[in-house]
Amino acid sequence: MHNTTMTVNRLATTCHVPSSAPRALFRRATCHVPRATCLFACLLAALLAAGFAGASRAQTATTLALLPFENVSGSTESVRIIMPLIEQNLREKGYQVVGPDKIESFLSRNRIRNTGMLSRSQLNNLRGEFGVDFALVGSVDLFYESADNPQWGVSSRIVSTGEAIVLWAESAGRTGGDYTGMLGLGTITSGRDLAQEVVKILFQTLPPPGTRLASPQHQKATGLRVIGSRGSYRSPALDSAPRWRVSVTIFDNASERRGAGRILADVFSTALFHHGRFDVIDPGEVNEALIALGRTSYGGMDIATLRDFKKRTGIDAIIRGTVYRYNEGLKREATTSPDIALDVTMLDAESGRIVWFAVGERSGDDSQIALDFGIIRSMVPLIRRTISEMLDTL
Amino acid sequence: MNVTQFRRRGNSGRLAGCLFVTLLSFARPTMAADYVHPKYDFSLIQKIAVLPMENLSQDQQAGERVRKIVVSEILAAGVLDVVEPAQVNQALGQQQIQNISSISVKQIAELGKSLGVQAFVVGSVDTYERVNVGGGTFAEVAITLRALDAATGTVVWSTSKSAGGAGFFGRLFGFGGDTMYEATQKAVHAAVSTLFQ
Repeated sequence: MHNTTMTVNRLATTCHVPSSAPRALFRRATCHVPRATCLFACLLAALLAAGFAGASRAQTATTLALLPFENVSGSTESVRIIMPLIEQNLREKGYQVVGPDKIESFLSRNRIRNTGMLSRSQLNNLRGEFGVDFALVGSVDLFYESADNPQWGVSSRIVSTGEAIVLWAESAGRTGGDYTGMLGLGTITSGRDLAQEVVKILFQTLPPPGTRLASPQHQKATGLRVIGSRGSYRSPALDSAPRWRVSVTIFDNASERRGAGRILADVFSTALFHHGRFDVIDPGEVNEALIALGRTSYGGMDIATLRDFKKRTGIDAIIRGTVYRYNEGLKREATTSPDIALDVTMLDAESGRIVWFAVGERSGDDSQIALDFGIIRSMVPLIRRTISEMLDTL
Repeated sequence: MNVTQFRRRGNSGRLAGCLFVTLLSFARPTMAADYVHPKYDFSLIQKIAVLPMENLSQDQQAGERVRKIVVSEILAAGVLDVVEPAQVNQALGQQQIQNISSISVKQIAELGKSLGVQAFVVGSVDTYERVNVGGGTFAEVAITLRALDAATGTVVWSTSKSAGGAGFFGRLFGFGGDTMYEATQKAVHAAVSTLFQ
């Protein structure tokens, strides 16, 4: 936009009116630039101005670099099963995919271990090597192979390789029992078959290739703000805050489930993206910045760290949280209903102030309406539901 | 009035009395012990810091969970500025304060200067558990909070509140009751409300 304005101004200055010219000449300035060129430049400027505002965060995607999903499930087989299905699904949708097999050497040369979270510099390198504007990253959050009720949970994001902005995000999870119909028929008992269904659900909201990818716009509630959880806090400053760049750090994990903090960061980023209030920066950028600064987000970030962080990444606010309970409902001796308990805090990276705090606590049975109808059996959908209720207070 | 009418009236009175006593036996007394310093000028407090809670419960995370909710409730009142807990933790680390319960007046004063606060909230989580009653499990939370003047270490406010537990239907039928968070939020809200009256 700025360049466009400069172009127009530069053209305007070449057309000047001599100060001694008679009054009539003010109506038409002597112009050294041919009229056709002037018209073309004005038209080009107008098109650029109209398009640039929308295109600053909206880009078209046809080619994706598909990075191997990070395995947080605890199962060694999960990534091996699901990655071919993901690549196949993307190709069927019409995307050109730079597959994990081609990416592998890039990852080892650049010593990238967390394939589910890439920093801006790593994404820039990816762009330089493969010429791709977008990378699809993700994680397998849950894989439970069971003869009667397998379970899957996955999260995925499309991130721009230029600015590390999240342009699409989704999380999906299902159990074999979710497909049980009348008379107990229809249950999916194969982990692989269930994976196919979960991948289809994951990419349901993925736009077709060539469509503009952009952060959704938040629809401000016109009625009373729904306070989903009493005890949450929302700073009035958020009402007048511009569209911030926000990122989510890996949650502090006070639960028994290894990797729960990482899973929450992924699913929360997805939910925050869909909320549309902020531009979501990939958690990988946060991770790298903290490593580079020699700091950690564990236990909180002091104001000096926040300011250094903002200077380095341009991120306006950080969301961090703690997960206290993360029960996937897989233990035989305990309840089979998943449940989760967490809290989140959003900090203004400049002032260090708390601008939002919310608590979420839910079990899969909480949404039960009658008999088994309404029960959330799978962990990832439960987390999404819980976080969505928390985001209602934002 | 004949004898039959008197007996009927007596029976219905006894029934009402029994019902009343039964209901009374299900009622839970809530601990309510509030103190506000009669001569302290609370308008001097612009900014406050919540120190880590002493955790007297069995749940290892109870102290931090309650602390965050206390911070949130004070912020939600819209009256005071609250220092973000990580800043407080950093200041405590810099002053090498490990045990809040044995913090000295001098340390409080230095901490207050470094954080720019006029008062501190300290306290303890006395109960944070789920109890079995009538076939169901119910959350019970009990907390004690105090506010200390940062310059002198004087206790200017103190309260103890509890929430949760099994209500009437919970004791009878074993369902209902708050989640741990709901019980915590109720107790903290009740406690913090006494600071802003």
